Amino acid sequence: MENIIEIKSLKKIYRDFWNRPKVVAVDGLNLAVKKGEIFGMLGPNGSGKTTTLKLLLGLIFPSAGSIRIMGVSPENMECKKNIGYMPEESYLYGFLNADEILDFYGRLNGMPEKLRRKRINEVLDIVGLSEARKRRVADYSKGMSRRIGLAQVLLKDPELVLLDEPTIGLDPIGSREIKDIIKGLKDRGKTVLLSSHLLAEVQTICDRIAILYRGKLVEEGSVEDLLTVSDETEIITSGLKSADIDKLKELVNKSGGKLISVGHPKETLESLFIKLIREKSGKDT
Amino acid sequence: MNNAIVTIVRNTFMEAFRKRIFQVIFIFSILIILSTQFFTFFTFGEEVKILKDIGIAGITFFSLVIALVIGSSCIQTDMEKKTIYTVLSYPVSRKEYIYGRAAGVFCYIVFAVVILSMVFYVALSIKTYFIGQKFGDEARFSFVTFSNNIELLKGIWLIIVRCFIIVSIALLLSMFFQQTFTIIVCFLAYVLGHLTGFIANMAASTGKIFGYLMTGFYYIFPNLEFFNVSDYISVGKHISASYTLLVSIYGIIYSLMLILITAKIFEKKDM
Ligand SMILES: Nc1ncnc2c1ncn2[C@@H]1O[C@H](COP(=O)(O)OP(=O)(O)OP(=O)(O)O)[C@@H](O)[C@H]1O
Ligand SMILES: [Mg+2]
Repeated sequence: MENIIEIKSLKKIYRDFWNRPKVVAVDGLNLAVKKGEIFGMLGPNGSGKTTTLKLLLGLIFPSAGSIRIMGVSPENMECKKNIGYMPEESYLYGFLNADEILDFYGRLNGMPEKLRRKRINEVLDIVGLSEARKRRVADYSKGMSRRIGLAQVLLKDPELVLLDEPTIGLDPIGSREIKDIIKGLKDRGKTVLLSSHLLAEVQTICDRIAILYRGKLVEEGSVEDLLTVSDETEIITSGLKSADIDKLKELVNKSGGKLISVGHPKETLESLFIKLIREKSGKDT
Repeated sequence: MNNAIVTIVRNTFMEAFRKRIFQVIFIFSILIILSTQFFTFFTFGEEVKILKDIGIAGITFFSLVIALVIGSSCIQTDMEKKTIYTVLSYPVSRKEYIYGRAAGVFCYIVFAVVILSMVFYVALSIKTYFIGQKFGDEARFSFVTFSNNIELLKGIWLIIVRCFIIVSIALLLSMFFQQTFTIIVCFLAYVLGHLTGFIANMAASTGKIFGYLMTGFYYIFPNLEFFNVSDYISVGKHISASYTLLVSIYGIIYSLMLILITAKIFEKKDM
């Protein structure tokens, strides 16, 4: 499958007012996201997830390294028609209501009037804001603001969707809805790159993940592979008394018990995540 | 016409239009202009002068407040509140965003000044009527030609151009500073901008390094005194068309230069 995002040796150093280096937020990152997958970026606070997303959109400029997004550099204007972005905090123009905000974004994306009207109705429905569409966004609750942020992404119907902590600030039902929307995007062949620290959530929806720590890639791979512990064996049996594994196997055969499955046990993403970060921080200090 | 820029201009206009503070100041300015109805003086010449002085002051005050407040905040709050992230994730170049913002503020200033000028005109007309009753028709006719002349329009136009300069300074400063600081510096610039002639004289008399500095300052700084025609207006003196044109060109070029510089800085800026 072709890569829709290619990041090579990417580095970002934030500088202060006097142009002195302050923080190395992304440090030699290599990453590739394939077309049609849901890719999760994980990492503790301050590990460079948001910075990476901003670099992908050309909101900030890399200090070194290269980025290809949909085959072009992030500075290319045209590709933005097909990239949707929901920032971690979406402050949208508070003096507008939901209708007007989406109309504004639709116009910016060059959508003709008719299509705009139709799509606005649809996406307001999807994110569940149809009732509140005439209310000023300044008066929205936190979760409602997130929803309108997502509506703005869906309005574009983009090929590539970048979501920065999509479920933050949402109630359990809301975050469930968002997860379903994300899966729906994948079903329609879209690519999703999201960042999160909600591990359980990532585990259920992502195809592949990358774990970042202090701007560096610690681990990358498919969720399936990463969470499979290959040097252990789990035997699920029934009709057995307790004994050692080898004895058990013999016993299984001899005693006429039924062997139900021999497979690989799964670690949860949570324990993997904590293990990796612990290892890493132990090395660094 | 570029669609993205038009969209941003519209949005900027709406933002200003719905700002509570502007609505309040707007009504306040209208009241000031209308209040001139209640001043009465012995000679109609005095009445006209007072009326014009207050009207021009109201328009100047309101447009200056708008220029300072929106100019210093419209881009700055987008960056601070990160609204800019979503906007720039659309096919809008950073240049287009800056041009749209600047043009939106200009449109709102023109809109507000036109409305206030209309109120002003109504106030003048009412006055004319009463002057006719009080001093007789002859006075009324001379008042009409005296007050509703084209000079007034030229003066108001120059107030608008001066606001463009102030807005452009504010937009440029807002690339680096918070709103309060920008407003303060802009206001100082407004005051100093009216003193550039004085500064040039001082430069000539001081000599040496300080003198050069002041001369440099004189050339870089906008000469806002060019636009200060309220004295002419209130006594009904003639402002020549060529002067108006030259000064307008000066102001517009000055302001466009600042906007180009702002766009250049914004293009390189980390959000
Ligand atoms: N504008 C900025 N100026 C200076 N430093 C910054 C800036 N933005 C981010 N940083 C620093 O860069 C590092 C990475 O920040 P980033 O926001 O990318 O982290 P993150 O992984 O998104 O964290 P979180 O999970 O908390 O959202 C942090 O140390 C942060 O302090
Ligand atoms: Mg973040």
